[in-house]
Amino acid sequence: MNIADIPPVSSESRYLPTYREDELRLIFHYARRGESLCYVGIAGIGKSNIVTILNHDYAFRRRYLNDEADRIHFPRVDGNTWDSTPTGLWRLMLERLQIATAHLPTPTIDPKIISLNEEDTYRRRLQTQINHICQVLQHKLMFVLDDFDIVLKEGPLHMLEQFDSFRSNGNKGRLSYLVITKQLPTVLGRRFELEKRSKFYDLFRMNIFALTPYRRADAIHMLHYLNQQANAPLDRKELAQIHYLCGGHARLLKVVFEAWLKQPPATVDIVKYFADSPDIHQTCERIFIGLHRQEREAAVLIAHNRQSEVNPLIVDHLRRRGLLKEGDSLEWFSPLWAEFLRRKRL
Amino acid sequence: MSGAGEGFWIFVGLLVIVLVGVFAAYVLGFTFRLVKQEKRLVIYRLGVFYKLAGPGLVALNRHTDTVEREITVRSDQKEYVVGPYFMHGVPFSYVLLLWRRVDLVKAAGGDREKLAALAQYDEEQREMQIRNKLHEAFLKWVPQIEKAHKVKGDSFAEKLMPIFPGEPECERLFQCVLQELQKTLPTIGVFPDMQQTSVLSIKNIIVPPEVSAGFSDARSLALLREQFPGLSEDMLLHAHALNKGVHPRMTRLYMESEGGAVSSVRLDDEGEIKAARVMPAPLEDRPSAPSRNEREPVLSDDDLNEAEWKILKPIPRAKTGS
Repeated sequence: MNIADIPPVSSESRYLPTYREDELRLIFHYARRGESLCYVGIAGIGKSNIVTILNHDYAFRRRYLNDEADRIHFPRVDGNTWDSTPTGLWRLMLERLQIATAHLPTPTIDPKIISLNEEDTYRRRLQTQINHICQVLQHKLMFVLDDFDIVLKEGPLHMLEQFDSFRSNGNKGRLSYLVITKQLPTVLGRRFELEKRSKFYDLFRMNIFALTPYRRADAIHMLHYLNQQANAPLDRKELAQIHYLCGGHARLLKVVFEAWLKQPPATVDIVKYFADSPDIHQTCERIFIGLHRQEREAAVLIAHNRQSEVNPLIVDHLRRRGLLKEGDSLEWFSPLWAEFLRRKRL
Repeated sequence: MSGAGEGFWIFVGLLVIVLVGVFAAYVLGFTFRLVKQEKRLVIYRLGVFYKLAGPGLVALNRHTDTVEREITVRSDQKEYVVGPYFMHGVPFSYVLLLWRRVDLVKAAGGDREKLAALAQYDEEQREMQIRNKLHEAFLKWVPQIEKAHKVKGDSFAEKLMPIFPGEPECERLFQCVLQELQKTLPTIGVFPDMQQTSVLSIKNIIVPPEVSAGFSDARSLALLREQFPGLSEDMLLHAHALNKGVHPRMTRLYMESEGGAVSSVRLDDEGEIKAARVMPAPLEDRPSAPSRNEREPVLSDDDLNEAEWKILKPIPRAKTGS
């Protein structure tokens, strides 16, 4: 890597103004139109950072939404905190919606409506809140359904279909969803044939995008920011080496940076040195187990130079996923990930 | 002048000389590195290959010299996966153990240009080259062994016999491959370590799951047949299915599919079979072995089908984006 390529950056702010520019532009574009979309990205790719920006970084919203910045809200629903019941999901969504729109006037609850059970109570209250924001206040909502693998996998279908019902209740063009998963929604919802039977899936079936590792500028900025936070112990050459090792994977960048601070490599073979680290191995293992079975098998075969046995469709898919770099060569996004795969037994 | 005073001035003189020497070395840019017995440094001077240095203390000029890479030269046993190859139409791969050592100087044979060319590769690239040389050798010799081997039966075991250790064909194959490697490996700066008792050995043989399943199914059925000679073929298959931990309803499917093995079955609430995925019939029952792409893919519920591999879209990039 040419060290001179690294631009001197001000690392005071966590994110560059152009951070995840294309990804964020797409989200804001869909939120404006009230349409839903899905991002599928490997573990640790930086999905949470996008969610953080949508919720907490007003400057970004202003940049992309201009005057609409105050009128579009992005409540985040974390699938990992779901208790596996429909009641739990509506309660969670209601809580997150109330937090995201705490500054807005609240709707009045009709005391004449008596719900049959707890699930119905929360579902109605959520619907009332959504209707109030979308129809009375004329604002827009995009629910960020973060890490939703488990929810799509467990269902049941009638619970997932409620997402479409919320929208059909007079909120078309104002209520949308950003679904974020590690695996393809069709595979996650295979048990109840999500692809064929779900209107919720219809909302985003044409808009399923691959979330790839950071662009170079974002990765370099992140490293400079981490370095600044640690009182700049590493020089630019070392930061460039970390970027080379991690190739734009947010969690790997952080873990390798911290490992480097703890114990700088004492050998020229830095790939082997860091690949031996338990923390880095664990990070790679998390990426690995988050992949589909066929993706895992294909990845190990490619890493063992047996690409002739891999279906070209899978290779193409891995490229779009950002696991393999673009181009004709089968180069992984990170030398550490490549080394991790090489150590996997066939 | 007293003896003590004289000694003091000699000490001061020596100290001054040492300090001047160290200062001169620093100004001229000399620096030193300790290189371990099993390592060598590839040193470039002004961007051009200069020398292979080590072991011991190596002097470098920090203004002009760079250590491009470190090479391990000790004899090492490494694992390589090669294949797949075909023996009478049955695919197989080997997991091999090879004793080898890197010796760029010997491989270059005094030719400096060749040494410079060999020193351009790091260890990972050299490992890849070794794997390729192994692959080339097997690619050359497996068909020769296959041609010389007469198949006595039609089973997988018979067809794959020449690849199993202990078989004369296998011994011959490895002999030829090793001779080939003695010629080809030095071209990439590597030598098989012929001092080891087993320079090239088999760690594992990889065969497709349907082949290995065929081996164990045939063995298990043969044992049942031996122990219960009075049982009908249907009952034997039923017992075999139960032994494998397969739901008994699968037995019927097993027989109906003419020897194909059931991969998965889904039951409805009443316990009736709702959907079943059946693996293709074993290769030996077919007129000719189809290619990998022609075979019916065996997918579980968590697997992606062909259409799903195309679902993911790339995020549209802004025209002005980097």
